[in-house]
Amino acid sequence: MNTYYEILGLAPGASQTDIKKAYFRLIRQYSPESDPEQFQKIREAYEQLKNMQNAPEGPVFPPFSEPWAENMRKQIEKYRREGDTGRFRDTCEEAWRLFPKDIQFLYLLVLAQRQCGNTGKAVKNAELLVQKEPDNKWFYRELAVSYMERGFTQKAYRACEKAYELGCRDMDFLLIYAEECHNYGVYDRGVEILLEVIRQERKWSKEEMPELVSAYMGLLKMCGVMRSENLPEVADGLGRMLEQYGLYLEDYVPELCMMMSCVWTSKENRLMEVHQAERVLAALGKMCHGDPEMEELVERAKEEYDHRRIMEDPRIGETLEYGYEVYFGLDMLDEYVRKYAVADVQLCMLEEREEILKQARILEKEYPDYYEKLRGFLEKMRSGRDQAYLKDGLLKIYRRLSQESKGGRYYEKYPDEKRRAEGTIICGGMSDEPYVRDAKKIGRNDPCPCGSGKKYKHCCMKKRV
Amino acid sequence: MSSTIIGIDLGTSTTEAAVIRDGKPVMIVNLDQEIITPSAVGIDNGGNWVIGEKARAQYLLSPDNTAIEVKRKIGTNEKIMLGKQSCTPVALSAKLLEYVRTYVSEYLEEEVTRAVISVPAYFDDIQRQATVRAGMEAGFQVERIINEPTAAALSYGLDHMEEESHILVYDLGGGTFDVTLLEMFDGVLEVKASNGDNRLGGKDFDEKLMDWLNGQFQKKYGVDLRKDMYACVRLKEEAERCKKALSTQESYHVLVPMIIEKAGQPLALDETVTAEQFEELVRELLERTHRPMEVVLADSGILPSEIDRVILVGGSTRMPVVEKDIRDFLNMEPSRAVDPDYAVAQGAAIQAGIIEGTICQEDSILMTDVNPYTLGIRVMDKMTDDRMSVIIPRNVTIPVTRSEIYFTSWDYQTEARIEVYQGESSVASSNHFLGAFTVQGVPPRKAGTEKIGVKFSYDMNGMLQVKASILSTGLDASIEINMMEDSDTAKEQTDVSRWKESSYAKPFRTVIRRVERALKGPEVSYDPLLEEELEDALYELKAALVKEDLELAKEAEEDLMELLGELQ
Repeated sequence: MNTYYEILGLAPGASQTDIKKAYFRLIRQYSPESDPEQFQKIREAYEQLKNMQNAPEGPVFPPFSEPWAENMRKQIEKYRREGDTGRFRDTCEEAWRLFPKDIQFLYLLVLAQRQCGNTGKAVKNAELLVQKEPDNKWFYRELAVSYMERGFTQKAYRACEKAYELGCRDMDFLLIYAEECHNYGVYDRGVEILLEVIRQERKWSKEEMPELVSAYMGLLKMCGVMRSENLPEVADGLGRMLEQYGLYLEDYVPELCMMMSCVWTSKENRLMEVHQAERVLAALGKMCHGDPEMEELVERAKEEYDHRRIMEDPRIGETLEYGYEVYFGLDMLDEYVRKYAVADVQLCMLEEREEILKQARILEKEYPDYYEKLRGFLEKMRSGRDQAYLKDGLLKIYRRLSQESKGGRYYEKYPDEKRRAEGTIICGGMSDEPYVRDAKKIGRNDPCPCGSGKKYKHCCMKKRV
Repeated sequence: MSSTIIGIDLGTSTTEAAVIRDGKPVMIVNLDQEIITPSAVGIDNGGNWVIGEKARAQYLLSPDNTAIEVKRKIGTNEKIMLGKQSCTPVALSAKLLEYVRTYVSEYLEEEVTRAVISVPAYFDDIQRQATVRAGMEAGFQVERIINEPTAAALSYGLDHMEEESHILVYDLGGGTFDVTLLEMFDGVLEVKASNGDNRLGGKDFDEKLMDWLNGQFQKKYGVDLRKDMYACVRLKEEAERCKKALSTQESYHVLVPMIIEKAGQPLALDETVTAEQFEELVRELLERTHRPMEVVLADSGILPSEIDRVILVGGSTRMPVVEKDIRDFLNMEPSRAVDPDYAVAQGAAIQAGIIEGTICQEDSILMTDVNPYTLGIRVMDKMTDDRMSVIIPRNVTIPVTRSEIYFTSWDYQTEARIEVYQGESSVASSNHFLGAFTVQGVPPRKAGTEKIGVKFSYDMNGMLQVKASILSTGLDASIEINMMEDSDTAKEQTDVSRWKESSYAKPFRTVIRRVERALKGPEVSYDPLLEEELEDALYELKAALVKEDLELAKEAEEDLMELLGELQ
């Protein structure tokens, strides 16, 4: 890292303005035309340092006990930069063995062991670090991360707490801390920490988007569980963020949609306000740029939201709640199951006509999508004429299909209808009781009741067997 | 060799040239004493080449002997017919550039052989290569291909050296659209991102108007003007005039007397177009400019509110509807700080000046550019063996070197083939294939144990060097792909449309018809690989017929039957 500063001729920790100035001064000297090699080095240093503006700066160590330890450090930094994790770790181990006074090597060793997945050793060494310098926030931070990676939730939470007390405030740490709070069940603390993240008044860079998104994910999860007072603030913030940074977030649309769907379906969560949800959905919709797959995801998220809202709306009765599931949730199922379910709902609606028509007015105003799906049938219901005819038509479909499917709500709710239907359709030979015909007998040569115009013996009688 | 380097803006509808004099760009006039030369090339009745204004005038009278808007076809294999002569887009562009070279040499009173030529930033590698080739055919040594918006920004930057700002260059020319976002700091112009649409420009606005006028005419008289070449040319001319007029007035009366005859009766095109109607007609075109602007903002990590200035370049930005659309989209007043027609040529001249050293780099303007397209190689993952693995993402400052490490896919694999692609799709083969090579001598071990490092170096001249090495042995292999040089990979295409005239055509008719029908059917469209194979085989057959080669035709027929069999 220090080498990047060296390339730009700056002292470590120089400000972003200085970095920029130095870069533009240097590329004048080493322009892409005249010295492409040097230009690339300068460019790389500039980009790295620019991206690091929000990264944690890391601990400061005392000078090395031996001058040649510095060479060792340079070697270690090289392997680390190249991503050669094995050598990075082995060299750290060697350095720590050779220079037990220089705690910097132990710190680097912990980093290396974590990178290699040696979580057990990393925990041991991190504990050693903290033991040596109990006031060092960076050491506590490493300890917390090591515990977490090892799976020690409780210990990780305690270490996070301590690191936070000591003043650790970088973004990565706050997210880790919040996650530990979530795992450990201390939701109020987690929310507090994440609010600290999103309340920052600054421009977020494109590189920070993943962190920002996970901060919101965590917040929505925890606020929901706690039914927190802060939910409106979070929802507002999310809407604003999506509007402002939508351009950077295009790749996250599926993730964001999933997150919103989860938040909205989970029963424990408090639901956000309509205008807030609409704002979020509108911003997501805009990010799709007409990609039908993405738009579908947003549409699904919206359905989840409406579903929850309908379920929680005290003015909407059971039948229409069930209806929403039927109209929006059965896309995957077979044609006949859907037909059956739709008939099921519509029959229930007919039975509760007055009540349903009253509720329909609410739907029209507040749930336009749902209303649109029901509109045709509602209009038929509203017209008032031929209600009996409507019912008969539905019943015919319903009876036919109910032989294959089970568990219709209509029969459950109105057992009388079921009895009547079974009397006519299902042949009583199966039961022990004597069969009593409750409808008029249809003669073989009578016109078929299905309305086909054929004789009964040529039509439905054959099908019955 | 002469040392003067000129800058050329080779546009879709017009061409300009400029040169640096006393540190400032100066536009060069052509033989007609005009700065702007129409990009038209033709052959007159005597069989002589006519170029520029004369060719444009000739286009109205004999459109079949004249070519316009050649730039739209550059980089394709399409042939342009001038009378009976078939020409490539490169050859016609070369004619135009040759004319530029003639008048510039006359103006400067020296033989000019070096040039910087501008291209749209979103031109891909093939289009850039074709442009270089045209320059070479015209007798130029092409010193640099410069991106048009970058050039425009250079010409702006030279007069505003002290400024610290984010600039968005909106370049809507005759046939192409580019957006580039730059940061100006301390006299350095840093391009942050470029994007665009190679098939969107002022000509499309004319087309929309022509369609509408023709539609109205058809409604009235039931005659399609498009079917008559001369009527079509006059319609185009009038549509262009109408578009230009609507830049300054609210409505325009289109009147072309005797545009066509119907049953011996001359008919007139007589319509009034209002600015509002025009806006409605071109709405869809304007919306197509939005996506590139969003991509540029997203790639550069800059928010719309951080842009300090929007610079308009290209003649089409004169249209008030375009200006209004930008204002609405970016919430900012666009600036006319540069001349939309000259800025690109001037910028190209500045770049030329930098190269020849008349503009000193130490204290004058300096520029960095980006690569507009993603570069990567084909790799295998769990789902497919046709994944594009990105090594240099788009909009990275060049020159740039990046490397990635890959693992062997199979047990005891001893070689690895590196296929290099350019493009934005995650499916490698949908992108533009640049080249391939094989690394041999991988130690045979279990899959995933041997590492292969692949390094891409992309330099200022568009040269891409790809190097692959086996990390455990240090063995390596590499290729250089010169994106600025001629690559003769394009297959020689025979014109197969006349296969029916072949003496052997008859027995093959049925199979050709069957394949052509199958190609339109749904089974084939689900399977792009099969579609490609079928098309290739069909081409083979037709080509064989055209060449009157019965043996080859029979072979091709067998292939086709086999493929058709797969379908059923």
